[in-house]
Amino acid sequence: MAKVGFSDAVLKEVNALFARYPKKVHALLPLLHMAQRENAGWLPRGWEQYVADLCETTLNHVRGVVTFYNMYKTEPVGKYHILVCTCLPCGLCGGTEVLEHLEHRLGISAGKTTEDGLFSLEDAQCLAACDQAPLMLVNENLQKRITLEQIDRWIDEARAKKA
Amino acid sequence: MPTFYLNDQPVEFQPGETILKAGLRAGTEIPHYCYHPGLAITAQCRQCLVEVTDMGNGRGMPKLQTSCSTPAADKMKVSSVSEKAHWGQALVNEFLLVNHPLDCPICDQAGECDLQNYAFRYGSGHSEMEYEKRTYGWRNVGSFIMLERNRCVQCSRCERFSRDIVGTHDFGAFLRSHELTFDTWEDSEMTHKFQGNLADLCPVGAITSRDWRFKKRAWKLHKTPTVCTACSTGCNINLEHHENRVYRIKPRVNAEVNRWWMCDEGRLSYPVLNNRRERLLEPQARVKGELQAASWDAIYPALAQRLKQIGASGAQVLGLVDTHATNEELYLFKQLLADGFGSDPVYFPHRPGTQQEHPPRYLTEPFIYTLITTDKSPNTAGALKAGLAGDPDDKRLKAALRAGPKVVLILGTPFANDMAVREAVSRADLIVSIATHQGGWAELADVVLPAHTVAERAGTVLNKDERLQRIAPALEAPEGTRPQVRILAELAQALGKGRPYADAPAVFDAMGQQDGPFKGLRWEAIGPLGLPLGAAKAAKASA
Amino acid sequence: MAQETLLLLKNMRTPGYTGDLSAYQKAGGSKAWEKVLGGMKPAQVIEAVKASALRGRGGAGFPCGMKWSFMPPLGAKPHYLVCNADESEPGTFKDHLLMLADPHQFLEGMMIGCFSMHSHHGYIYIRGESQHAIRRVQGAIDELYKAKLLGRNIRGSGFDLDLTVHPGAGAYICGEETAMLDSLEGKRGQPRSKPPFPAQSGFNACPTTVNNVETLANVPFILTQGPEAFAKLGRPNNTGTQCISISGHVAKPGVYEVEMGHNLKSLIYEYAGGIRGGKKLKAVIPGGASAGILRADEVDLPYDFDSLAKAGTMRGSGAIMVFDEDTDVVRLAERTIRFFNHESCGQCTPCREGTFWVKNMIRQFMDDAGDGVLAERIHRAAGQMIGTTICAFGDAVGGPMQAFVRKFPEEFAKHYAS
Repeated sequence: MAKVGFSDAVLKEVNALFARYPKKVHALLPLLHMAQRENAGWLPRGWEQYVADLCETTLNHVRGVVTFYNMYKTEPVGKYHILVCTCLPCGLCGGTEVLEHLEHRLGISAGKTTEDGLFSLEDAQCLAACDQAPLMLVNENLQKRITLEQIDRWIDEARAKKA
Repeated sequence: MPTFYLNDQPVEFQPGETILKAGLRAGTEIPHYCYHPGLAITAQCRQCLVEVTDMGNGRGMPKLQTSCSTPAADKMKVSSVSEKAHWGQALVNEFLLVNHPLDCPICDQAGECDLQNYAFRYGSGHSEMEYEKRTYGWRNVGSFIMLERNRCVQCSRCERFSRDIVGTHDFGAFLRSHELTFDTWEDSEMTHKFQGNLADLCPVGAITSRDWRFKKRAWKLHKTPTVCTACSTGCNINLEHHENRVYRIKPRVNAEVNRWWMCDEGRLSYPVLNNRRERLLEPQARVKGELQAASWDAIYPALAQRLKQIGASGAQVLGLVDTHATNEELYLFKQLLADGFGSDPVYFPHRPGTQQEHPPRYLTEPFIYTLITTDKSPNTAGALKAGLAGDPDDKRLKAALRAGPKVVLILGTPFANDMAVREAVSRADLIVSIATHQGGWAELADVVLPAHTVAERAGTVLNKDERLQRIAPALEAPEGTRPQVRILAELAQALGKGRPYADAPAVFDAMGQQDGPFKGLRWEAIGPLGLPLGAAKAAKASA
Repeated sequence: MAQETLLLLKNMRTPGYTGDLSAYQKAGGSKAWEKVLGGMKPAQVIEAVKASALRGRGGAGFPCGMKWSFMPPLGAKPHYLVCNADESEPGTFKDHLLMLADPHQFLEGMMIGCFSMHSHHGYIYIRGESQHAIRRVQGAIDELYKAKLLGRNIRGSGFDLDLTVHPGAGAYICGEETAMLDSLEGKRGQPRSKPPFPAQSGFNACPTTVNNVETLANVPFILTQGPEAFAKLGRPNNTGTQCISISGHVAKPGVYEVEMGHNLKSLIYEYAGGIRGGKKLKAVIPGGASAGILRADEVDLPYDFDSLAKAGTMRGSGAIMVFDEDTDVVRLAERTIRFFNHESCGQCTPCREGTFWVKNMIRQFMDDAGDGVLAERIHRAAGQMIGTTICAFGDAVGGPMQAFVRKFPEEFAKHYAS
């Protein structure tokens, strides 16, 4: 199993973060984001306990938080983590078609990761850019007014890059 | 005191008290799940919705309010039974049944289930929910409890208890929306000793006792208020029994002792009370090396005659007692030894208790951990107050044994597993054992007098904080056995000493009239919640 | 295009505007903050905001100055101002524009708010999915520290102030102010039962005020131009301008700034370019997913808090979602309830079980297996969520679901079982 724990450099950042809150546990959300960044976007076994100890709280407090918020993952996610908004305006302006197309092209249903570990697909709620529907958030990059042709091109490129 | 009106009845309240708390105290039932007096208020189940028609200033509140979280105000007018309040309470009930499995026939909680009770009150008799329900399996989540999540009403009492009271945070809140689940994580089975409280707290059948599973329907049980004798804390309990068998032990609220809680060791201390197979059911005397049955009428004169033959007195007669004996029994036993033989002191195993369990990190109020002590008997403080002789290393007893006592009188099973004591005692000419079950001293004794278990007799015990509490008989004792106080009084009389007592309360009242720790006290004054000895004395002094 | 009334979007509508501190200051920014530091009393600031009659732009429309005045006098506990930049109400994206294109404007308002409420630490809660907004705002804060407009003894005033960006992690409910405070404390974002209100016991059990990005962005204008200039815009009790997010089937979706009380129909047709493809309007959701739907013949009305409330819906976060004649309103209802069911925190029974049940009922219509009894049952179950939960989420689901059923019975009838 890979080592659980931040490097000294990151721990320095963690301490700077703690300094901005009255209690360490207040920094739990940003801390979990940092832990995910260290681990390709998810929380491998052991990290929840590690983070709990760091901010002086119980393991089930951390697990409660991890399972409450959409963005924390306890399973590996693909290199490209795709969120497609299918909420009201997006859903009625092509969002559901984008999601269906991605499901078809990637051969997975929303909530799953492709076997090659390249793509994870998620059915998302509002991404706060409804005027640019349909929307696709890939990792931290918001792609607006996306078309099915663009998606095809992008998938082909990503796959080619890997191969 | 300020007053508000609940369903048109005036209710006095302490400033800051909520409608629900004051209302419950005044005897008005307002349905609720998530509220518990021992836990933080979350107002999340919404079952306790009431209508506030007047906040005390002539204006009502437009929305229904949760009575658990709304502070009462002077001259406030509240209804928990108005059409609107009933609408609110009924809709919560309907929503809770959307995903409920309705498996009352096989649910241990049936009969004492809030959801079941409220469904009778508000339910329509048919469901309009025509879709698949969310379902989970059941599993054991701890050594004492099991979890059936289908029945959960998401009140979060279990999480708040395990987080704020026990601090282990075994039960967490996971996921959200209709997937919100209160659960332990699969990889951690609970091991702490306060799990039974989770079953008590759960208002439905989601968390139930493994020990109690499928054993008895709750409504069959009779409850006898008494005190736990599994350690020196003396948690207040109800002994719950049916057809002369104890089925479970539940805590009884006592703010000064155990609050709402008790430990699992205490809960599991009842099987011995049901042990009839090994019970001593008649007096026995050793004839030619064999114990033989005798009648009560015959055994006292025979015993008196044998004692006269031996003619032992003073240090030749040794009294041993354990701290399961009540104060009344200790008193009579001590008197028997002193008046009958001029023997003093009486010896007991003094095992000072310390806190047995220790709280985890991050727990701010570790009260519950003070409940289990290492002293597994209820009346060590009583023995000390009675002036009995005991020390942790039994030095005084060992010195007394070296003198070679001729007669040993034993109440209960003190030192019964100490081979050195057994060996020394066995050399005595006469051993008299007053006990409830075979084994212990009974197998070594020359005379065995069958007595009552703690579930069959009355008496008082003094807990680790010197709080005087009453134990009460719940079960009928087997024919042929007698209560300890009666046996001790009868023994004394057989020796031409002492006087008859009707029962333990009579003994206590007699003690109250003499110098000693209980001077000035009466049985009736102790009450169901007991009295701190110091405070009782102080009150007497000031009177 | 119809003329906007530019107050908040003025800078960013200027070609070449970068939104950096220097650009902001060149456009007249930071003046209000310097004016406040230059000798104003906290109470004077609050008086000015009160006089402007500025109402919160997050959804509830609570008067901002009054909210600030609820903060107790400074005692032993520190005070906090939290900026609600979670913006997750479906249809809403104006706060993102304000944060991305002109971050110093709302930050200046926030700093002034902190000063007026004796708060020495402010938190900006930005949803975790919006890394671009988090980076942008953090960059702006770094600039402020560097320019010594934040930090210790700012500009010799003796006032200390720190600002911290706190990322969310994907939960709509964290836009509710008490859920946001729990989230800021590293907990599950579950709304708290009130009382106590945040002004008494908020973040870390200390007096706290929560304000929306757009609300705070208005504050510098009020301080530099005077509350009267602000109150002159809009209508009585609905003052100032508003940044409207328009999305859906319009030709030109986007954010438009108009005075409070501007006509809704005009916003759709004159600003957002009308229905795209020349189609006819079927319905409008005028204030985010939590607002009740309006039929096409109901949209000729002033767009402000009071007028929309009178029409039985709400202005909410100023998010107008427009739907053309081809829209299946039942599908719209399905998207709405799916969203709310997904985002309910789950603690209150009516919301947890109600959103689940109503979603199942709506799905039955989607399967063309509905009937009139079922439609009424949706209406009843939705009504049971209104006013019966800890936070306003129950109302936010129940109201719109009832509106779908009542306003578009013919759409539901199309999905009856044949």
